[in-house]
Amino acid sequence: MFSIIVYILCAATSSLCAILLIRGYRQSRARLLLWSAACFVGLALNNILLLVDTSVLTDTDLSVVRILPAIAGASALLYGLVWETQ
Amino acid sequence: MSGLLSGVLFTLYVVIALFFLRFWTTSRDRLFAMFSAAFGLLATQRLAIALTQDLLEQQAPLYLLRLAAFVVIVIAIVDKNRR
Amino acid sequence: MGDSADSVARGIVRAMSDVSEGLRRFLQERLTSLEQIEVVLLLRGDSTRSWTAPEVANELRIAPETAAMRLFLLASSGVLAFEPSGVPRYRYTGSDAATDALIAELAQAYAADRNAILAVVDSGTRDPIRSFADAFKLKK
Repeated sequence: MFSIIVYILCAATSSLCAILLIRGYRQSRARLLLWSAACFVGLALNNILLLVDTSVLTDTDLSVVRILPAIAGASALLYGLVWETQ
Repeated sequence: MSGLLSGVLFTLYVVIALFFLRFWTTSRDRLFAMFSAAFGLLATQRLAIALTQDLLEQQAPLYLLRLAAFVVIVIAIVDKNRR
Repeated sequence: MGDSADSVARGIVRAMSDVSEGLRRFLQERLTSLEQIEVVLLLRGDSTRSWTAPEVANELRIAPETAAMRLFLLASSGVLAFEPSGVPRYRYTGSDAATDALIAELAQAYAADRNAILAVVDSGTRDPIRSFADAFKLKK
């Protein structure tokens, strides 16, 4: 189903962003990148859980569980944007 | 509960998109404009999900908005590497 | 009148400090702190010799844990070779020809005008927004 491919693509893109940002943090030591990476990890988890919810564990409703990593990640990024930029 | 959480996530995405918009105006780096658009799309999708919560059958095409957000991010990365 | 005198003065200062664009980018992306520069230049001084973290710490007068971390990170980026023995030892390899040439240039520039190098290193680490955008460059 098309939606499964979409969720996989979203998770993969998110993970790529997280990896690039962590590599960037090792080179520049800018903490903003660490918080940004956390956000993309959260988005990746959100998409993976969405995938699991719709195709693997179809009898349970993970809609509350799967939004939590996205909220955690977005909060981390927002924290970084507020405190780690001049 | 899930309505509240959706609202929280929507707001977070909107504020993040605004920050990226500001970075674009100060740095003139296209990447930030695209990331702003991506988070704007994620916010729109989150709002749409919350508004159509009771109409489950119609929620399926909303993942296209999510796809669009990540496609924009991929385009941003490709664009950054072609310059 | 004052403007042109100003730009002439700035041009002279820039020519004197003579940090090339390639080296500038190298310092902003690969060797981003004075500590890293000193470790690399120390090991480059004798590329046949391998060093342990305590030896480097002693020579540069920094904490041994800091030296160990710096050596490990530099080794993982390819500039140093890691030799696992009883105690880990590190040796300068210079990664590839292009990197080696940049580090040779760095050694010269550092000996000639330390302040110019410090100025580049400082400016590079101050903009996290720029670092965010740069993180998405696949090749560096």
